[in-house]
Amino acid sequence: MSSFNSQYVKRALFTASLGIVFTGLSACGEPVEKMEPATVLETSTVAAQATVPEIISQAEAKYAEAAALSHAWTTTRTLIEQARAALEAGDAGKARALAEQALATAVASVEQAGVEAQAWQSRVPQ
Amino acid sequence: MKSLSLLFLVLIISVPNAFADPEADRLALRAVYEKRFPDVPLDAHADGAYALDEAKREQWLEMEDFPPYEFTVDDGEVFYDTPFANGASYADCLGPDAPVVKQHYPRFDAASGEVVTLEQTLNNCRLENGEEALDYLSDELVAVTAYIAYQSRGAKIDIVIPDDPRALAAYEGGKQFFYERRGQLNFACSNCHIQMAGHMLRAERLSASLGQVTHWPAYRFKWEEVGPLHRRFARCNVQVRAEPFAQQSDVYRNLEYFMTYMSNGMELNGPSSRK
Repeated sequence: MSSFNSQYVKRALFTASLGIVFTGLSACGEPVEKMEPATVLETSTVAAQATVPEIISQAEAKYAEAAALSHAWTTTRTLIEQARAALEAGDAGKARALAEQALATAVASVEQAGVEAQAWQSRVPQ
Repeated sequence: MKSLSLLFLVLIISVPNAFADPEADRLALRAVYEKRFPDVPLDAHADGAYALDEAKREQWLEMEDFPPYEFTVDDGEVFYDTPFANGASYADCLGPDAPVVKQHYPRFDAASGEVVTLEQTLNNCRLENGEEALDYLSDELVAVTAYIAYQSRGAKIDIVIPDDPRALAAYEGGKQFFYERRGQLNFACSNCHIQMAGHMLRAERLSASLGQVTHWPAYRFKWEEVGPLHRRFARCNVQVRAEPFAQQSDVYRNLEYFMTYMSNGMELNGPSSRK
């Protein structure tokens, strides 16, 4: 597994665990919704040879796509800013890790928009 | 013919909300809270979390003895009564019942085809009378809305969704936003304020969505000032790590339209104080 995928799995599982823990706590007679991290994990890969600026560009494009769908995450913007700062500071390893996380969260936010385009209807009281 | 009927049946089953109407939504939401909190009268949810937590309610009532929004209301009255340079005033733009008008906002404006809030109406009034529009977070605009809210206390929310597909689309847009999960934490408004209403989130009790719009603008102790509803929307979005939208954006105006319609018939009790 590449370092990107490793970071991606950690990030996605962290997000999923929050969702599962919270919805589990919130059951109280309501249907418990489940996160499906698998759908997130397979959505994108980063070529191992991509440069950090290229990964940042990909993250920015995905972030813009999510924003157009009203589903951008603050996390993505922060990670992009941090990746740029690390790159300027000459810390290529840190910059790559942050850029990969930024792209991972951007991909997940677009995925969320796609799922929620229909899923929200299941939460409307009937 | 048989296959057409079958198709129609499948459509109804697979798209349960395609044929929903706002009043059915409102009644269904009220039924949820009636079932969840059988000992809390529905109108009591106008007090938010303080309707669901006796200890916090007592603290809140103590604070209301010396309401932290009082000076803002006083300032708002001065701004409201001070004529513009051309001699006109806010009252001239708000109709014969001014300043008791908050119960009718937000409203759908047929001319623009959009939902218009009280804040926008005040700014439009300024522009029509040769004044500059105010920032939606400015002290003056917040103060004027606080004064109008105070004067409108006791009036019952009366939001109308006219028979216009654009109005229904705006309502549906707000409804979708309310029930849609967003942000890295993957929360919908409804997760906290329907599913988890009444439960604790850290040290705070989560309020029901019913009645959430009755008391704005509000003095929030975290802000140390009075602020508008859309500022709270933005903060909620950021808390789940979703990018917030601009004050008075169509997204937040439609959300306000939906949420206020859900509270139709409830008495206004703003401004108020909240943690």
